[in-house]
Amino acid sequence: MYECPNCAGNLKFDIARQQMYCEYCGTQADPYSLCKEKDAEETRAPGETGEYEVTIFTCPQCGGELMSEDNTAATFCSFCGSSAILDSRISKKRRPAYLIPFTKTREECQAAWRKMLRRAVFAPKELKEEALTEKFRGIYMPYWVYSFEKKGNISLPGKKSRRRGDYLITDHYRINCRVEEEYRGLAYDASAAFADSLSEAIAPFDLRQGKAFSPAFLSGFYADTSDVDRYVYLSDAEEVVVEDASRRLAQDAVCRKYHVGQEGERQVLRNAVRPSDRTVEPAMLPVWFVACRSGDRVCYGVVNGQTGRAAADLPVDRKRYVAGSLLLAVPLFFLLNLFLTITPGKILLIAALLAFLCMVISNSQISRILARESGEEDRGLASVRPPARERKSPAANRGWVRRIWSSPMGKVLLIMILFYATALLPSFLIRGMLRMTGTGMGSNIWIFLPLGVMGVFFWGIGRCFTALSGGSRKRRSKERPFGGGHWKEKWPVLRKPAGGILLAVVILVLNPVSDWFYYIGAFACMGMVLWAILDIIKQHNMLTTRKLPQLNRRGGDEIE
Amino acid sequence: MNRGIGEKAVYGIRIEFLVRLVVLLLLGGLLLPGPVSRAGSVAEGGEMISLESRSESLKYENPDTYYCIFVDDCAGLLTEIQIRDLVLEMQKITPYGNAAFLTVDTNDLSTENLARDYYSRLFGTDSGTVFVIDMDNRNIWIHSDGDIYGVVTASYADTVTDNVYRYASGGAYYDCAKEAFRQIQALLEGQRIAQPMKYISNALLAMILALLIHFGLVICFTRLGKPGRSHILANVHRKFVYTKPEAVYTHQTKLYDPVSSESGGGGGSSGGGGGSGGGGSSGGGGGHSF
Repeated sequence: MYECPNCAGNLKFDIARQQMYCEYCGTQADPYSLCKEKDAEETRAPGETGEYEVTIFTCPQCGGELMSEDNTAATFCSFCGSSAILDSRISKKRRPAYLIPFTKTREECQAAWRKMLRRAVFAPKELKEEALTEKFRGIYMPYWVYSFEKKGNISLPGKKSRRRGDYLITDHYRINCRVEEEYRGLAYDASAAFADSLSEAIAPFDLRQGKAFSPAFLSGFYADTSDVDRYVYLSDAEEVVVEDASRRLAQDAVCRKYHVGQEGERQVLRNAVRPSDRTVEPAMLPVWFVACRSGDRVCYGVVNGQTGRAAADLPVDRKRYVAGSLLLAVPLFFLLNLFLTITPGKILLIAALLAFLCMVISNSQISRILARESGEEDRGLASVRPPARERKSPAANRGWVRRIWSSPMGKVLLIMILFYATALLPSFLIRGMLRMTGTGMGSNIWIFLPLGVMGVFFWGIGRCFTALSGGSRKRRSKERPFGGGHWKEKWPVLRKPAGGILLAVVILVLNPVSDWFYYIGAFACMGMVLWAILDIIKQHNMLTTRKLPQLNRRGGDEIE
Repeated sequence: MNRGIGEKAVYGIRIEFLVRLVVLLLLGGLLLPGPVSRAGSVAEGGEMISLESRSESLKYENPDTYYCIFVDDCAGLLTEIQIRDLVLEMQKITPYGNAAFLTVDTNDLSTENLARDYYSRLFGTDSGTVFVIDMDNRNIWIHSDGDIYGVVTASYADTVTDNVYRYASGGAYYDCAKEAFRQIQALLEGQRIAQPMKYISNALLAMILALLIHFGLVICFTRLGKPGRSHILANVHRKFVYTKPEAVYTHQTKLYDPVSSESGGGGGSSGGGGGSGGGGSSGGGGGHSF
């Protein structure tokens, strides 16, 4: 605690004034003029940033730690949202190189939060309550700030081609120049408790506004401790630099004239401009942070304390969602009645198509949930977790699928192929074969032939899926089949729309005369689709909330 | 002569349909069928002024509108009395257009093509409708054209055949044809035909579409964004300077790469002028197996 020189009250950093301020007597003071960490200053070795003394609050439930200059007890945890008196202890921490003070006040943060929630129509009402916005806590988040530098001569290959008769003549050159590049202030969050997705969503911070660190800035705020290794994001930051530098150099007229960095020479150019000096510094950046707990899940809201950019995990309130959809369904119903009269066969096909769409969405969401829950998606979190058995994601096992999937047209193509393969083709195949035999479904002998063909067909499809999901690889390594594609986790959800599709296929194959079969099949399939959509919402809520953190700190750059 | 009948009828149907739908929705009776026209008695006022009778075919011409009726029971599904009764039923369509009824027991074409060819042969592109029972393909089909097609659209043809195919499945071909023409007449008079399954299907479809649309909106508006690289770089201290690049010649390579000798070929000859194809049919229809 920083005592007011006039009244001995608690001096806190005032955002509007950008000064230390005593709310009792109105005294203002420069943060750098106040110093209480004499012991810490004494421990500072030449060339090092030293330490400072701070109160550390630890949540008894999740193990999350918050630092503060205040000794007053914290009554809730910002990481797991639980209301509990946090354990406190005095500790020494390494001083960050610099910090950006809060420039957005709590009121501005709350306004930004409310503005962001305007577009979240189906968000639960708990997120919109005033009580939650009051819980916003100003936290200085630890960041690693990467700086890169390169000064030196570079030499790149260049060429010019021309045609003479039947010969292609290429003149080769060396393009020489001296480059001086300097990139300072690429910031990546250094706390495993602060999800990468959230920190990226409120980025960037303008590091040019950074100030030398003084513990006085923390007065009235909290700070998270860093536990992510400083080198975790180094390659990401360097990639940003290399990409920018190579792009700028390649745009030079001489480089363009001699095709520098083109036609397979791109990597040469990238290596030439790759920085030679890399420095990593710890910094503290301002974030307004709130957690909303619901059962065993928690969702976070964050607002950039410098720019006011807000982001949040926004789950969906299923009651609101269904009610809103019912409202939208009324005009859609009138529109459909005005412009659409569908035959029983078509409605069955549409139902199957919708079921297939639900399968695709569900599959994608479950894959993302599994990646999220395993921590694969979060570089910072993955770095502090004990190394798990290396397991390639299903997508990584199927290179050609990933390549096709990466383009929008490829996506459409793959979805169409899958739909045709699973729903339409079998029905057309059977119908065609029955027509060819000219016996209809009456002849038992001829039924077995198409059924056999269908069996082989579905077996082939199954083999393809297994291969795509890495199942065959798993089998070779004597592990359970389908393991690579997470079929065990996905199947309970995917079987609902799959059941609808199967029913539709059976009806389309049998092609009964009575419409009732089609309608009953279509309605059953649509029922499955509705069920699957509710599952999709549940999955979305899983994706927009997080497991309660278990932050058994710490590692990284901490000094305990 | 009957110009605009179709448009008026369509307009009338839509207005009445909307009003009824809103009222029925409010009353909770959405799925109940509308006031379906009852099978009318034989048109007493109608008089057959030109009736050619063979063993299985009949022709009638409306003296006021000159629209005709043809009945060709090639498959011999109806008795003579049933054919006469059917003609009386079909007479009610002649104020709006031609009407024909065809049954066949052998057919090399699809039922749709048979109906289209038969209609084209009888009426060309004139307003009218034909109802076909194809015993070979076990299909019934309604094909319409002209003003009548404006009312009895392909969708309505599907609906009507959906409503009457059960008669054909049960062997009641007369009832099937009679009901089909009765429903066509009801449509032409601006009435509504029962299609409860359409409403149930559309209601479910609307609900699913609404849920999916909202899901798309949720994904779009609540996704955690990522700043672009240019945005990130705009907020860092960035300095990238270089001296003017100098190109120093090193060596030369030569690659034998012959230009393809294939010539592009001459221009294609222009085609001769085509004769006019005559008025194409704009009609269509729908059907159902039985």
